[in-house]
Amino acid sequence: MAVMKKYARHVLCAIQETTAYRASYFINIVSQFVSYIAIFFLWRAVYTGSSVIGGMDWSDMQGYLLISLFTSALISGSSEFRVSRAIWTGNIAVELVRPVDYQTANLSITVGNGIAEGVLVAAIGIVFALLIGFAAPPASPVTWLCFLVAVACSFITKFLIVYIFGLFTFWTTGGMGLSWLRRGLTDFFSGAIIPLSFFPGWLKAAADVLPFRGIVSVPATIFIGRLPSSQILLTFAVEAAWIAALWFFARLVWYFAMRKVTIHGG
Amino acid sequence: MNVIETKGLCKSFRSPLKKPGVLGAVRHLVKPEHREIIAVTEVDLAIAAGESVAYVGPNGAGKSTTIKMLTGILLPTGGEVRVNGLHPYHQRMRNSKNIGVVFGQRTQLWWDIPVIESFTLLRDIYEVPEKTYAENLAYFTGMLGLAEFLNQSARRLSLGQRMRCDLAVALMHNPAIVFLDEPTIGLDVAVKERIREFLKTVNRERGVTIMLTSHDLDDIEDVCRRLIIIDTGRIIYDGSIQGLLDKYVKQRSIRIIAGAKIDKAQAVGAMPAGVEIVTASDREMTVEFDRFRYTAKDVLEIIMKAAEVVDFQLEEPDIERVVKNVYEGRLELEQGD
Amino acid sequence: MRLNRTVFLFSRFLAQNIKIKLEYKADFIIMLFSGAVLQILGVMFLGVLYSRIPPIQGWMMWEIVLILASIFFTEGVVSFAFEGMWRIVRLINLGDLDRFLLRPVSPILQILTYDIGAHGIGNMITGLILCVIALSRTQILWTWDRILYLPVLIVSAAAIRTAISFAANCSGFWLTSFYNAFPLMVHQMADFAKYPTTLFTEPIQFFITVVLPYAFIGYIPAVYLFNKQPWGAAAWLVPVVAVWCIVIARAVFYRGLRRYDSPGN
Repeated sequence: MAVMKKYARHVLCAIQETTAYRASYFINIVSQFVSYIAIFFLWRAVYTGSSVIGGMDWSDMQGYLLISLFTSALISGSSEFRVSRAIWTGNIAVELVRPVDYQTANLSITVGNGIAEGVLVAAIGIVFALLIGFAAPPASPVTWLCFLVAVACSFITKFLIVYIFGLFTFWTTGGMGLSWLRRGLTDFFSGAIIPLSFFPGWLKAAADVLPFRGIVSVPATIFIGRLPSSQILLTFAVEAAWIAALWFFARLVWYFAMRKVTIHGG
Repeated sequence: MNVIETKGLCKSFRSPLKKPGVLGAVRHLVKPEHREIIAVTEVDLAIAAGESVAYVGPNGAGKSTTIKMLTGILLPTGGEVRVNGLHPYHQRMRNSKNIGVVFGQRTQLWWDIPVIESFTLLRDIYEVPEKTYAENLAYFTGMLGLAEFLNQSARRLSLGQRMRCDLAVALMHNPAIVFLDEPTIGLDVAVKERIREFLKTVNRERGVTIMLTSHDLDDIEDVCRRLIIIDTGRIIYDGSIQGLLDKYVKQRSIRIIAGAKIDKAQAVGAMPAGVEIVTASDREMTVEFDRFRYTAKDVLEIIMKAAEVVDFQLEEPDIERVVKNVYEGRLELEQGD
Repeated sequence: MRLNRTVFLFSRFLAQNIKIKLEYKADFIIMLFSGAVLQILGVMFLGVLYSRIPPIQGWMMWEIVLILASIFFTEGVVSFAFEGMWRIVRLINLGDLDRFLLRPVSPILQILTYDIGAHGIGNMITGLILCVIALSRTQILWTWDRILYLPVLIVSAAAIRTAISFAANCSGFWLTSFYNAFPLMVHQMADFAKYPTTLFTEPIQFFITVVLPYAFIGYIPAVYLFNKQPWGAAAWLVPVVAVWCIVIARAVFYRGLRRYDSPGN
């Protein structure tokens, strides 16, 4: 129980930290929306021509984009750069001395960040949705349940990917390149911008196998009711397998990183 | 002609005021509060060319803030400032050609390239003529012993080696003034000696004005002739070191080691007014005396009558005790000191 | 500062940075790779999009690819040469800006050249290749004025990009938290430049033409080159816009500098 308390404290501290600088906090929130505005208009223009594309209509697409926005906002830049920043500044030495499991601690902090930012984003998102006239949230409680499970999986999967890339900073000299690469890969293969149903056969097959789809595509398609219930169980199973694999992979990267630190110092 | 002149110099910072806990954080989001921190206030300085000045004070007194205003890093909140006749902030680039700066905890060197490459880069940046550069390089390499590590990259140097390189960098372009902020922090005694010698030589032979902040009072006594003490943002002493000593360090002490057991009662009786035994054990004794009343020779003679002196050690008057007392608030320096 | 001295110092710093980067070979290659991958993903995105849908508002796929590619290219140049501006937040918070302020060189130049981004090379190469391909698949009437326009566009676009990102990074003087989303957000707004501006509603069109003139980097030049609209020659305003952006960026920097606290001792 003391262990849980330790990590719970991380969550609380993270909430405080995220909201510590108010201007930055609000700007971080706003920036989540900005990237989606361009996409929103792009799709609107696309849909003026035809009513159903890739098995989705405009109402579906709007719902899809809203969920995409929401899941992206749960883990934002502040989480993304925390690990790499600790490494650049050398502050990580201080964090490593603490009697906590670094990976779990990071997860707790990310949860805190997510609560602090995600809540506000969700609230604004709902307002936004009502404004654009989106009126088709899922009907059945079962769908809502599956949706919430999907969101939880999305959170953990994204955390692990962000965390692993963050650890790569032990080997690179930092800079935006690596983070842009991560975003690019995640945005593309998670279906954040183009739903996976649009992908040509071979690409879709690849995307179905990768862990990224759990981040956006799965919760979004569940939400708009486009993921057949027959597939849900299988999808969750694959996601769970990926989460386990990534969790252990992260530990492996960590192990190598620690070796590098103790050998080379600094 | 004063190379550094300030009148009523002030600097204050705004700092957010937050209550602890998650609730406090949320409250701050909605209604933020700030408070003003005054770092430096009403600082008047007048430093002439060729002087070597020590700028001393406890942590957080405003030393670094003053230096940063004099070097053009911080914009003063109020007051006037002139360095070499220029405003250091508004005419920063012109001023930077006339000054050299050494920050104890930061280096001017590039981290990943050999030191000599950093030197040439900086030579180009400061537009130092080839001949001057070559002469200075030879001179500094000799005086500071840089030859052995000129080709190593900065990340491989020890703190002492890096500091010596930073000193060379600061003076490479023949500036009129050199500012040093904690230059000997963390260094061993041998290196400190070397650096002090270097600073004295440069001040004496080249007339470079030196302004030095340090917690090491030996640095100050060795290199500087003038002392300015700042505490909680205000200057509380500005004068010669000798003057401070004369005014506040009235005592000197002698410590002796005796060949035979000291008779304490007798020893105490033998001390005249103005001479006091501070500590005494069987074979050792420390005696403090008013240095304006007695010379060391006088006191030694007095002691030798009371004990069999085998060895002795004379303590020079030093400002350490004065400054310590000032820091700890036990000594209020009079105005106009 | 005199121009040739600026250029001289810039190339000195650039050469120094390249030398240092080449020491870390693995890192260099990873970054190079990441730049290229990112841009290929961008193109794949367009490919996927276009495979299922008809031309958007009359713009063919390869025409949009051309806009995209030219933006990749300038982004690459800027990322490569001026990566230092992304370090401003770090420099401010660790008080490392002091060093720059003590030297008789423009602190802006020092900040811009503080680091180079190897991923920029990947961007440049992919951008260039895509440009060539797109050019071969689209119709442009190459008159003299259009040929002369190209170098003007490239230089101005790089300047605009740099100035905007630099100014956005200067927000670090005001927003003192360690993570600052503002510069990234402004950078992402360049996404608006990748598509025809007419796609968006009027307030947004105004925004990316006047406030953050990204429209001048991609859309307007494309309109000019493809002769889509009669007002296409407005594209020749791009150097004016560039100068304007530089002036503002510089002002933002010096305004922010007044707030610089120089933390640490």
